[in-house]
Amino acid sequence: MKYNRHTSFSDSQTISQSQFEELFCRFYPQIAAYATVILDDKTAGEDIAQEVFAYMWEKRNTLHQGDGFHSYLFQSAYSRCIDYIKKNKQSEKYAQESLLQFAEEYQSYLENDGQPIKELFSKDFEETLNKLLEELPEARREVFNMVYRDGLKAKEVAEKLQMPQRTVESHIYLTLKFLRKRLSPSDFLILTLLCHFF
Amino acid sequence: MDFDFSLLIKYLSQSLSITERQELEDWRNYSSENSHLFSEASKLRLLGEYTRRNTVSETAVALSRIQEKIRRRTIRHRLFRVSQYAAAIALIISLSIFGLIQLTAEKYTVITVAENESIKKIHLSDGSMVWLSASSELSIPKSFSASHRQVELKGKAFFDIEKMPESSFMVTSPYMNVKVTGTSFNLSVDDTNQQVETILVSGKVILQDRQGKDIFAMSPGEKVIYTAQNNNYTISTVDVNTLTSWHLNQITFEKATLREIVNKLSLIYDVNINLESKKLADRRYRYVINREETLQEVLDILSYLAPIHYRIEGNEVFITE
Repeated sequence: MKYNRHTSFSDSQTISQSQFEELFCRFYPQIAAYATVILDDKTAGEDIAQEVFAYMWEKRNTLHQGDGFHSYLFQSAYSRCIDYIKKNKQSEKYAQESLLQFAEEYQSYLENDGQPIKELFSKDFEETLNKLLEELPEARREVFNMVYRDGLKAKEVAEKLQMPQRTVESHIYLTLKFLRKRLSPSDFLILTLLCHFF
Repeated sequence: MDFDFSLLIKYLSQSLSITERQELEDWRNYSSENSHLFSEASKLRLLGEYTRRNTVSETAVALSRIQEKIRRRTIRHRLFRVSQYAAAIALIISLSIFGLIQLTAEKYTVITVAENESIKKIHLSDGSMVWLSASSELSIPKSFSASHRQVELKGKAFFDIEKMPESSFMVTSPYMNVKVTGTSFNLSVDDTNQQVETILVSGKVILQDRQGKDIFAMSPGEKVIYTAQNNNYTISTVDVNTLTSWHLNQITFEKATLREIVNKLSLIYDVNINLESKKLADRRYRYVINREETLQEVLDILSYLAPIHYRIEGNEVFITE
Protein backbone atom coordinates (compact mmCIF):
# COMPACT_ATOMS: atom_id res chain seq x y z
CA MET A 1 0.00 0.00 0.00
CA LYS A 2 1.29 3.41 -0.90
CA TYR A 3 2.02 5.64 2.01
CA ASN A 4 4.69 7.91 3.24
CA ARG A 5 6.15 6.80 6.53
CA HIS A 6 6.80 10.31 7.69
CA THR A 7 3.50 11.94 6.89
CA SER A 8 2.83 14.68 9.38
CA PHE A 9 0.79 17.81 9.37
CA SER A 10 1.17 21.32 10.53
CA ASP A 11 -1.53 22.55 12.88
CA SER A 12 -3.40 24.68 10.43
CA GLN A 13 -3.81 22.10 7.68
CA THR A 14 -6.95 20.09 7.22
CA ILE A 15 -6.82 16.51 6.05
CA SER A 16 -7.54 15.93 2.39
CA GLN A 17 -9.12 12.73 1.21
CA SER A 18 -5.86 11.28 -0.06
CA GLN A 19 -4.08 12.13 3.19
CA PHE A 20 -6.89 10.47 5.07
CA GLU A 21 -6.46 7.34 2.98
CA GLU A 22 -2.75 7.35 3.61
CA LEU A 23 -3.28 7.65 7.35
CA PHE A 24 -5.90 4.96 7.23
CA CYS A 25 -3.66 2.47 5.45
CA ARG A 26 -0.87 3.17 7.88
CA PHE A 27 -2.78 3.06 11.16
CA TYR A 28 -5.88 0.97 10.54
CA PRO A 29 -4.13 -2.40 11.07
CA GLN A 30 -2.61 -1.11 14.32
CA ILE A 31 -5.85 0.35 15.65
CA ALA A 32 -7.88 -2.71 14.63
CA ALA A 33 -5.36 -5.03 16.34
CA TYR A 34 -5.36 -2.87 19.46
CA ALA A 35 -9.16 -2.86 19.75
CA THR A 36 -9.32 -6.59 18.96
CA VAL A 37 -7.01 -7.60 21.81
CA ILE A 38 -8.83 -5.35 24.28
CA LEU A 39 -12.27 -6.66 23.36
CA ASP A 40 -11.06 -10.19 22.64
CA ASP A 41 -13.31 -10.02 19.59
CA LYS A 42 -12.14 -9.61 16.03
CA THR A 43 -15.33 -8.22 14.50
CA ALA A 44 -15.97 -5.79 17.33
CA GLY A 45 -12.34 -4.65 17.08
CA GLU A 46 -12.75 -3.89 13.39
CA ASP A 47 -15.97 -1.98 14.05
CA ILE A 48 -14.26 0.16 16.68
CA ALA A 49 -11.37 0.94 14.32
CA GLN A 50 -13.87 1.95 11.63
CA GLU A 51 -15.61 4.24 14.13
CA VAL A 52 -12.33 5.87 15.12
CA PHE A 53 -11.52 6.71 11.51
CA ALA A 54 -15.06 7.78 10.63
CA TYR A 55 -14.95 10.18 13.57
CA MET A 56 -11.54 11.42 12.51
CA TRP A 57 -12.91 12.14 9.04
CA GLU A 58 -15.89 14.06 10.42
CA LYS A 59 -13.67 16.16 12.65
CA ARG A 60 -10.89 16.57 10.11
CA ASN A 61 -11.23 20.35 10.09
CA THR A 62 -10.94 20.83 13.83
CA LEU A 63 -8.59 18.05 14.92
CA HIS A 64 -5.23 19.00 16.27
CA GLN A 65 -2.80 17.16 14.04
CA GLY A 66 0.50 17.61 15.79
CA ASP A 67 2.81 15.03 17.35
CA GLY A 68 0.14 13.65 19.63
CA PHE A 69 -2.03 12.63 16.71
CA HIS A 70 -0.83 9.03 16.75
CA SER A 71 -1.58 8.50 20.44
CA TYR A 72 -4.87 10.34 20.01
CA LEU A 73 -6.05 7.60 17.64
CA PHE A 74 -5.18 4.88 20.15
CA GLN A 75 -6.69 6.86 23.04
CA SER A 76 -9.87 7.24 21.09
CA ALA A 77 -9.93 3.50 20.29
CA TYR A 78 -9.30 2.66 23.95
CA SER A 79 -12.14 4.76 25.31
CA ARG A 80 -14.50 3.40 22.67
CA CYS A 81 -13.54 -0.14 23.69
CA ILE A 82 -14.25 0.60 27.35
CA ASP A 83 -17.63 2.08 26.43
CA TYR A 84 -18.34 -0.96 24.33
CA ILE A 85 -17.53 -3.36 27.17
CA LYS A 86 -19.62 -1.41 29.65
CA LYS A 87 -22.57 -1.00 27.31
CA ASN A 88 -22.60 -4.59 26.21
CA LYS A 89 -25.45 -5.75 28.43
CA GLN A 90 -25.51 -9.25 27.05
CA SER A 91 -22.28 -10.16 28.72
CA GLU A 92 -22.46 -10.88 32.41
CA LYS A 93 -20.97 -8.70 35.03
CA TYR A 94 -17.88 -10.74 35.78
CA ALA A 95 -17.06 -11.07 32.08
CA GLN A 96 -17.02 -7.30 31.90
CA GLU A 97 -14.75 -7.11 34.90
CA SER A 98 -12.19 -9.52 33.53
CA LEU A 99 -12.08 -7.66 30.19
CA LEU A 100 -11.62 -4.37 32.01
CA GLN A 101 -8.80 -5.81 34.13
CA PHE A 102 -6.91 -6.91 31.02
CA ALA A 103 -7.67 -3.59 29.36
CA GLU A 104 -5.59 -1.79 32.02
CA GLU A 105 -2.55 -3.56 30.66
CA TYR A 106 -3.24 -2.18 27.20
CA GLN A 107 -4.01 1.27 28.55
CA SER A 108 -0.51 1.43 30.02
CA TYR A 109 0.86 1.45 26.44
CA LEU A 110 -0.67 4.88 25.96
CA GLU A 111 1.34 6.56 28.72
CA ASN A 112 3.93 9.18 27.80
CA ASP A 113 2.07 10.29 24.71
CA GLY A 114 1.79 6.74 23.47
CA GLN A 115 5.54 6.15 23.43
CA PRO A 116 5.30 2.43 24.40
CA ILE A 117 2.86 1.61 21.63
CA LYS A 118 4.86 3.57 19.09
CA GLU A 119 7.89 1.48 20.02
CA LEU A 120 5.93 -1.74 19.89
CA PHE A 121 4.87 -1.08 16.30
CA SER A 122 8.25 0.24 15.20
CA LYS A 123 10.55 -1.69 12.88
CA ASP A 124 13.23 -1.62 15.59
CA PHE A 125 11.14 -3.66 17.94
CA GLU A 126 10.33 -6.19 15.27
CA GLU A 127 14.02 -6.49 14.44
CA THR A 128 15.08 -6.84 18.06
CA LEU A 129 12.44 -9.48 18.57
CA ASN A 130 13.54 -11.41 15.50
CA LYS A 131 17.18 -11.21 16.54
CA LEU A 132 16.35 -12.50 19.99
CA LEU A 133 14.29 -15.31 18.56
CA GLU A 134 17.25 -16.34 16.46
CA GLU A 135 19.20 -16.95 19.66
CA LEU A 136 16.70 -19.59 20.72
CA PRO A 137 17.24 -23.27 20.03
CA GLU A 138 15.63 -24.06 16.70
CA ALA A 139 12.87 -26.27 18.06
CA ARG A 140 11.83 -23.63 20.57
CA ARG A 141 11.78 -20.91 17.95
CA GLU A 142 9.71 -23.06 15.64
CA VAL A 143 7.15 -23.79 18.33
CA PHE A 144 6.97 -20.14 19.26
CA ASN A 145 6.51 -18.98 15.69
CA MET A 146 3.76 -21.49 15.07
CA VAL A 147 1.81 -20.12 18.02
CA TYR A 148 2.71 -16.47 17.72
CA ARG A 149 2.84 -15.91 13.96
CA ASP A 150 0.56 -18.63 12.62
CA GLY A 151 -1.89 -18.54 15.50
CA LEU A 152 -1.94 -22.31 16.05
CA LYS A 153 -3.18 -23.88 19.26
CA ALA A 154 -0.74 -25.68 21.53
CA LYS A 155 -2.52 -28.91 20.70
CA GLU A 156 -2.17 -28.35 16.95
CA VAL A 157 1.51 -27.58 17.30
CA ALA A 158 1.94 -30.74 19.34
CA GLU A 159 0.26 -32.81 16.65
CA LYS A 160 2.19 -31.18 13.85
CA LEU A 161 5.58 -31.58 15.46
CA GLN A 162 4.70 -34.85 17.16
CA MET A 163 5.74 -33.81 20.59
CA PRO A 164 3.80 -33.87 23.86
CA GLN A 165 1.59 -30.83 24.41
CA ARG A 166 3.35 -30.24 27.72
CA THR A 167 6.63 -29.82 25.84
CA VAL A 168 5.05 -27.29 23.50
CA GLU A 169 3.78 -25.37 26.50
CA SER A 170 7.09 -25.35 28.24
CA HIS A 171 8.80 -24.13 25.07
CA ILE A 172 6.42 -21.16 24.96
CA TYR A 173 6.81 -20.48 28.64
CA LEU A 174 10.59 -20.51 28.39
CA THR A 175 10.49 -18.25 25.33
CA LEU A 176 8.36 -15.72 27.15
CA LYS A 177 10.71 -15.84 30.11
CA PHE A 178 13.69 -15.34 27.84
CA LEU A 179 12.08 -12.41 26.04
CA ARG A 180 11.01 -10.86 29.31
CA LYS A 181 14.61 -10.87 30.45
CA ARG A 182 16.06 -9.60 27.20
CA LEU A 183 13.44 -7.17 25.93
CA SER A 184 13.86 -4.73 28.78
CA PRO A 185 12.54 -1.17 28.56
CA SER A 186 16.12 0.06 28.50
CA ASP A 187 16.65 -1.85 25.28
CA PHE A 188 14.02 0.37 23.81
CA LEU A 189 15.66 3.46 25.14
CA ILE A 190 19.06 2.55 23.74
CA LEU A 191 17.54 1.66 20.41
CA THR A 192 15.68 4.94 20.21
CA LEU A 193 18.79 6.92 21.15
CA LEU A 194 20.90 5.13 18.56
CA CYS A 195 18.34 5.86 15.92
CA HIS A 196 18.45 9.52 16.72
CA PHE A 197 22.20 9.82 16.54
CA PHE A 198 22.98 7.76 13.48
CA MET B 1 0.59 -22.79 42.43
CA ASP B 2 -0.90 -25.18 39.99
CA PHE B 3 -1.34 -23.32 36.74
CA ASP B 4 -2.17 -24.48 33.28
CA PHE B 5 0.33 -22.75 30.98
CA SER B 6 -1.71 -23.62 27.98
CA LEU B 7 -3.90 -20.68 29.06
CA LEU B 8 -1.05 -18.26 28.58
CA ILE B 9 -0.38 -19.78 25.18
CA LYS B 10 -4.01 -19.64 24.23
CA TYR B 11 -4.04 -16.02 25.28
CA LEU B 12 -1.21 -15.30 22.83
CA SER B 13 -3.21 -16.08 19.76
CA GLN B 14 -6.85 -16.79 20.51
CA SER B 15 -9.86 -15.94 22.59
CA LEU B 16 -10.22 -17.14 26.14
CA SER B 17 -13.49 -18.15 27.74
CA ILE B 18 -14.66 -16.10 30.72
CA THR B 19 -13.51 -18.68 33.26
CA GLU B 20 -10.17 -19.05 31.53
CA ARG B 21 -9.67 -15.32 31.57
CA GLN B 22 -10.43 -15.22 35.27
CA GLU B 23 -7.97 -18.04 35.92
CA LEU B 24 -5.27 -16.20 33.95
CA GLU B 25 -6.03 -13.01 35.86
CA ASP B 26 -5.59 -14.83 39.17
CA TRP B 27 -2.29 -16.25 37.99
CA ARG B 28 -1.16 -12.82 36.86
CA ASN B 29 -1.89 -11.30 40.27
CA TYR B 30 -0.12 -14.12 42.11
CA SER B 31 3.42 -12.75 41.78
CA SER B 32 5.25 -9.87 40.17
CA GLU B 33 7.15 -12.35 38.00
CA ASN B 34 3.84 -13.64 36.68
CA SER B 35 2.59 -10.16 36.06
CA HIS B 36 5.75 -9.32 34.09
CA LEU B 37 5.35 -12.46 32.01
CA PHE B 38 1.74 -11.56 31.39
CA SER B 39 2.83 -8.14 30.27
CA GLU B 40 5.21 -9.66 27.74
CA ALA B 41 2.53 -12.01 26.47
CA SER B 42 0.12 -9.08 26.08
CA LYS B 43 2.61 -7.15 23.98
CA LEU B 44 3.29 -10.15 21.78
CA ARG B 45 -0.41 -10.79 21.47
CA LEU B 46 -0.99 -7.28 20.20
CA LEU B 47 1.94 -7.47 17.82
CA GLY B 48 0.88 -10.89 16.57
CA GLU B 49 -2.65 -9.70 15.95
CA TYR B 50 -1.24 -6.74 14.08
CA THR B 51 1.12 -8.86 11.99
CA ARG B 52 -1.65 -11.23 10.98
CA ARG B 53 -3.86 -8.28 10.05
CA ASN B 54 -1.36 -6.07 8.30
CA THR B 55 -2.02 -7.30 4.79
CA VAL B 56 -2.76 -5.30 1.68
CA SER B 57 -6.02 -7.10 1.04
CA GLU B 58 -7.40 -6.67 4.55
CA THR B 59 -6.52 -2.98 4.61
CA ALA B 60 -8.03 -2.52 1.15
CA VAL B 61 -11.28 -4.13 2.25
CA ALA B 62 -11.38 -1.97 5.39
CA LEU B 63 -10.63 1.14 3.34
CA SER B 64 -13.49 0.53 0.95
CA ARG B 65 -15.74 -0.10 3.93
CA ILE B 66 -14.91 3.24 5.53
CA GLN B 67 -15.26 5.06 2.22
CA GLU B 68 -18.72 3.63 1.86
CA LYS B 69 -19.50 4.65 5.43
CA ILE B 70 -18.23 8.19 4.93
CA ARG B 71 -20.17 8.50 1.72
CA ARG B 72 -23.40 7.45 3.37
CA ARG B 73 -22.81 9.74 6.33
CA THR B 74 -22.06 12.68 4.08
CA ILE B 75 -25.29 12.22 2.19
CA ARG B 76 -27.31 11.85 5.37
CA HIS B 77 -25.61 14.81 7.00
CA ARG B 78 -26.12 17.14 4.06
CA LEU B 79 -29.69 16.02 3.56
CA PHE B 80 -30.46 16.73 7.17
CA ARG B 81 -29.10 20.25 6.91
CA VAL B 82 -30.89 21.22 3.76
CA SER B 83 -34.24 19.85 4.91
CA GLN B 84 -34.90 23.23 6.48
CA TYR B 85 -35.09 24.79 3.05
CA ALA B 86 -37.51 24.30 0.26
CA ALA B 87 -37.80 20.76 -1.01
CA ALA B 88 -36.87 21.78 -4.52
CA ILE B 89 -33.61 23.31 -3.44
CA ALA B 90 -32.88 20.29 -1.29
CA LEU B 91 -33.35 18.04 -4.24
CA ILE B 92 -31.04 20.03 -6.48
CA ILE B 93 -28.33 20.28 -3.85
CA SER B 94 -28.42 16.64 -2.89
CA LEU B 95 -28.37 15.63 -6.52
CA SER B 96 -25.28 17.72 -7.16
CA ILE B 97 -23.61 16.41 -4.01
CA PHE B 98 -24.41 12.92 -5.13
CA GLY B 99 -22.85 13.69 -8.50
CA LEU B 100 -19.74 15.00 -6.81
CA ILE B 101 -19.45 11.91 -4.67
CA GLN B 102 -19.92 9.71 -7.69
CA LEU B 103 -16.98 11.46 -9.30
CA THR B 104 -14.67 11.08 -6.31
CA ALA B 105 -15.76 7.47 -5.90
CA GLU B 106 -14.02 6.75 -9.20
CA LYS B 107 -10.70 6.95 -7.35
CA TYR B 108 -8.38 3.99 -7.32
CA THR B 109 -6.60 2.07 -4.64
CA VAL B 110 -3.00 1.74 -5.75
CA ILE B 111 -1.02 -1.28 -4.60
CA THR B 112 2.73 -0.99 -5.07
CA VAL B 113 5.43 -3.60 -4.64
CA ALA B 114 8.86 -2.02 -4.30
CA GLU B 115 11.95 -3.35 -6.01
CA ASN B 116 13.23 -5.09 -2.89
CA GLU B 117 9.86 -6.43 -1.74
CA SER B 118 8.56 -9.92 -2.26
CA ILE B 119 5.53 -10.86 -4.32
CA LYS B 120 2.18 -9.64 -3.04
CA LYS B 121 -0.92 -11.76 -3.42
CA ILE B 122 -4.02 -9.60 -3.86
CA HIS B 123 -7.57 -10.86 -3.45
CA LEU B 124 -9.95 -8.72 -5.47
CA SER B 125 -13.50 -8.20 -4.22
CA ASP B 126 -14.90 -10.35 -7.05
CA GLY B 127 -12.89 -13.39 -5.93
CA SER B 128 -10.14 -12.97 -8.53
CA MET B 129 -6.52 -13.15 -7.46
CA VAL B 130 -3.51 -11.21 -8.61
CA TRP B 131 0.14 -11.93 -7.79
CA LEU B 132 2.04 -8.69 -8.10
CA SER B 133 5.78 -8.94 -8.75
CA ALA B 134 8.54 -6.63 -7.47
CA SER B 135 8.76 -3.12 -9.00
CA SER B 136 5.12 -3.28 -10.02
CA GLU B 137 1.95 -1.35 -9.39
CA LEU B 138 -1.72 -2.28 -9.65
CA SER B 139 -4.56 0.26 -9.55
CA ILE B 140 -7.88 -1.13 -8.43
CA PRO B 141 -11.10 0.91 -8.38
CA LYS B 142 -12.70 1.36 -4.96
CA SER B 143 -15.46 -0.95 -6.11
CA PHE B 144 -16.14 -2.81 -9.32
CA SER B 145 -19.24 -1.88 -11.28
CA ALA B 146 -21.71 -4.69 -11.91
CA SER B 147 -21.04 -4.97 -15.63
CA HIS B 148 -17.38 -4.05 -15.90
CA ARG B 149 -14.28 -4.78 -13.86
CA GLN B 150 -11.13 -2.89 -14.74
CA VAL B 151 -7.64 -2.63 -13.24
CA GLU B 152 -4.47 -0.95 -14.45
CA LEU B 153 -1.03 -2.58 -14.36
CA LYS B 154 2.51 -1.27 -14.39
CA GLY B 155 5.19 -3.97 -14.25
CA LYS B 156 4.52 -7.68 -13.95
CA ALA B 157 1.60 -9.66 -12.53
CA PHE B 158 -0.06 -13.04 -12.73
CA PHE B 159 -3.87 -12.93 -12.92
CA ASP B 160 -6.35 -15.62 -11.96
CA ILE B 161 -9.68 -14.10 -12.90
CA GLU B 162 -13.03 -15.28 -11.62
CA LYS B 163 -15.43 -16.05 -14.45
CA MET B 164 -18.54 -13.86 -14.42
CA PRO B 165 -20.64 -14.08 -17.60
CA GLU B 166 -22.39 -10.77 -16.99
CA SER B 167 -19.26 -8.81 -16.12
CA SER B 168 -16.16 -8.47 -18.28
CA PHE B 169 -12.70 -7.98 -16.83
CA MET B 170 -10.15 -5.66 -18.36
CA VAL B 171 -6.48 -5.03 -17.58
CA THR B 172 -5.30 -1.74 -19.01
CA SER B 173 -1.80 -0.38 -19.63
CA PRO B 174 -0.61 2.76 -21.41
CA TYR B 175 0.11 0.70 -24.52
CA MET B 176 -2.43 -2.07 -24.79
CA ASN B 177 -5.42 -3.58 -23.01
CA VAL B 178 -6.27 -7.20 -22.25
CA LYS B 179 -9.92 -8.19 -22.23
CA VAL B 180 -10.56 -11.25 -20.13
CA THR B 181 -13.24 -13.83 -19.58
CA GLY B 182 -12.50 -16.35 -16.80
CA THR B 183 -8.85 -17.23 -17.11
CA SER B 184 -5.31 -17.15 -15.78
CA PHE B 185 -2.49 -15.34 -17.48
CA ASN B 186 0.75 -13.50 -16.97
CA LEU B 187 1.21 -9.87 -17.97
CA SER B 188 4.35 -7.70 -17.97
CA VAL B 189 4.22 -4.03 -18.87
CA ASP B 190 7.71 -2.77 -19.62
CA ASP B 191 7.86 1.04 -19.62
CA THR B 192 11.45 1.30 -20.79
CA ASN B 193 10.85 -0.53 -24.03
CA GLN B 194 7.12 0.27 -24.18
CA GLN B 195 6.47 -3.44 -24.48
CA VAL B 196 3.66 -5.57 -23.14
CA GLU B 197 4.16 -9.32 -22.79
CA THR B 198 1.13 -11.57 -22.30
CA ILE B 199 1.35 -15.28 -21.56
CA LEU B 200 -1.94 -17.17 -21.47
CA VAL B 201 -2.12 -20.22 -19.20
CA SER B 202 -5.78 -21.13 -19.50
CA GLY B 203 -9.06 -19.72 -20.82
CA LYS B 204 -9.19 -16.96 -23.36
CA VAL B 205 -8.09 -13.33 -23.54
CA ILE B 206 -8.46 -10.73 -26.24
CA LEU B 207 -5.76 -8.16 -26.78
CA GLN B 208 -7.09 -4.71 -27.61
CA ASP B 209 -5.47 -1.46 -28.60
CA ARG B 210 -5.96 1.64 -26.44
CA GLN B 211 -9.03 2.59 -28.45
CA GLY B 212 -10.67 -0.70 -27.47
CA LYS B 213 -10.40 -2.32 -30.90
CA ASP B 214 -9.83 -6.09 -30.83
CA ILE B 215 -6.45 -7.08 -32.21
CA PHE B 216 -5.81 -10.68 -31.36
CA ALA B 217 -7.59 -13.52 -29.54
CA MET B 218 -5.01 -15.60 -27.68
CA SER B 219 -5.09 -19.35 -27.05
CA PRO B 220 -3.59 -21.08 -24.02
CA GLY B 221 0.17 -21.68 -24.28
CA GLU B 222 0.77 -18.61 -26.38
CA LYS B 223 3.00 -15.67 -25.65
CA VAL B 224 2.44 -12.34 -27.37
CA ILE B 225 4.91 -9.47 -27.18
CA TYR B 226 3.52 -6.15 -28.27
CA THR B 227 5.90 -3.24 -28.96
CA ALA B 228 4.08 0.09 -28.88
CA GLN B 229 6.65 2.07 -30.87
CA ASN B 230 6.31 0.16 -34.12
CA ASN B 231 2.91 -1.38 -33.33
CA ASN B 232 4.39 -4.85 -33.75
CA TYR B 233 3.14 -8.18 -32.35
CA THR B 234 5.26 -11.29 -32.00
CA ILE B 235 3.41 -14.51 -31.27
CA SER B 236 5.12 -17.67 -30.04
CA THR B 237 4.24 -20.90 -28.27
CA VAL B 238 5.94 -21.29 -24.90
CA ASP B 239 6.20 -23.49 -21.81
CA VAL B 240 3.73 -21.52 -19.70
CA ASN B 241 4.53 -23.25 -16.43
CA THR B 242 8.17 -22.27 -16.56
CA LEU B 243 7.42 -18.68 -17.42
CA THR B 244 4.73 -18.15 -14.82
CA SER B 245 6.14 -20.12 -11.89
CA TRP B 246 7.57 -16.93 -10.34
CA HIS B 247 4.23 -16.18 -8.69
CA LEU B 248 4.48 -19.42 -6.71
CA ASN B 249 7.78 -18.23 -5.30
CA GLN B 250 9.65 -20.69 -7.46
CA ILE B 251 12.67 -20.18 -9.64
CA THR B 252 12.72 -22.32 -12.71
CA PHE B 253 15.76 -23.10 -14.78
CA GLU B 254 15.07 -24.35 -18.27
CA LYS B 255 17.98 -25.98 -20.10
CA ALA B 256 20.35 -24.04 -17.89
CA THR B 257 23.99 -25.03 -17.50
CA LEU B 258 25.13 -26.19 -14.10
CA ARG B 259 27.30 -23.08 -13.97
CA GLU B 260 24.27 -20.82 -14.47
CA ILE B 261 22.35 -22.66 -11.76
CA VAL B 262 25.25 -22.49 -9.33
CA ASN B 263 25.77 -18.76 -9.96
CA LYS B 264 22.12 -18.08 -9.19
CA LEU B 265 22.27 -20.22 -6.04
CA SER B 266 25.27 -18.36 -4.71
CA LEU B 267 23.36 -15.09 -5.16
CA ILE B 268 20.21 -16.37 -3.50
CA TYR B 269 21.92 -17.98 -0.51
CA ASP B 270 24.82 -15.54 -0.30
CA VAL B 271 27.53 -18.18 -0.36
CA ASN B 272 30.57 -18.80 -2.50
CA ILE B 273 30.13 -21.91 -4.63
CA ASN B 274 33.19 -23.55 -6.18
CA LEU B 275 32.35 -25.74 -9.12
CA GLU B 276 35.39 -27.98 -9.36
CA SER B 277 34.58 -29.77 -12.57
CA LYS B 278 34.88 -28.21 -15.99
CA LYS B 279 33.17 -31.17 -17.57
CA LEU B 280 29.99 -30.80 -15.50
CA ALA B 281 29.81 -27.02 -15.70
CA ASP B 282 28.40 -26.92 -19.22
CA ARG B 283 25.83 -29.66 -18.85
CA ARG B 284 22.26 -28.48 -19.07
CA TYR B 285 19.42 -29.20 -16.67
CA ARG B 286 15.81 -28.36 -16.04
CA TYR B 287 15.54 -27.48 -12.40
CA VAL B 288 12.96 -25.84 -10.10
CA ILE B 289 13.69 -24.44 -6.65
CA ASN B 290 11.29 -23.13 -4.06
CA ARG B 291 12.35 -19.94 -2.34
CA GLU B 292 11.66 -21.44 1.08
CA GLU B 293 14.07 -24.34 0.61
CA THR B 294 17.38 -24.25 2.43
CA LEU B 295 20.69 -24.40 0.59
CA GLN B 296 21.22 -27.94 1.79
CA GLU B 297 17.81 -29.09 0.53
CA VAL B 298 18.47 -27.47 -2.83
CA LEU B 299 21.91 -29.08 -3.14
CA ASP B 300 20.51 -32.45 -2.12
CA ILE B 301 18.04 -32.33 -4.99
CA LEU B 302 20.71 -31.06 -7.34
CA SER B 303 23.05 -33.91 -6.50
CA TYR B 304 20.19 -36.23 -7.26
CA LEU B 305 19.78 -34.69 -10.72
CA ALA B 306 23.43 -34.31 -11.63
CA PRO B 307 26.32 -36.65 -10.83
CA ILE B 308 27.79 -34.36 -8.23
CA HIS B 309 28.91 -34.38 -4.62
CA TYR B 310 28.98 -31.34 -2.42
CA ARG B 311 30.30 -30.21 0.90
CA ILE B 312 29.52 -27.02 2.79
CA GLU B 313 32.27 -25.38 4.80
CA GLY B 314 30.90 -22.25 6.41
CA ASN B 315 30.37 -19.77 3.63
CA GLU B 316 32.05 -21.92 0.99
CA VAL B 317 30.46 -24.70 -0.98
CA PHE B 318 32.51 -27.18 -3.00
CA ILE B 319 30.92 -29.15 -5.80
CA THR B 320 32.86 -32.08 -7.22
CA GLU B 321 32.18 -34.99 -9.50
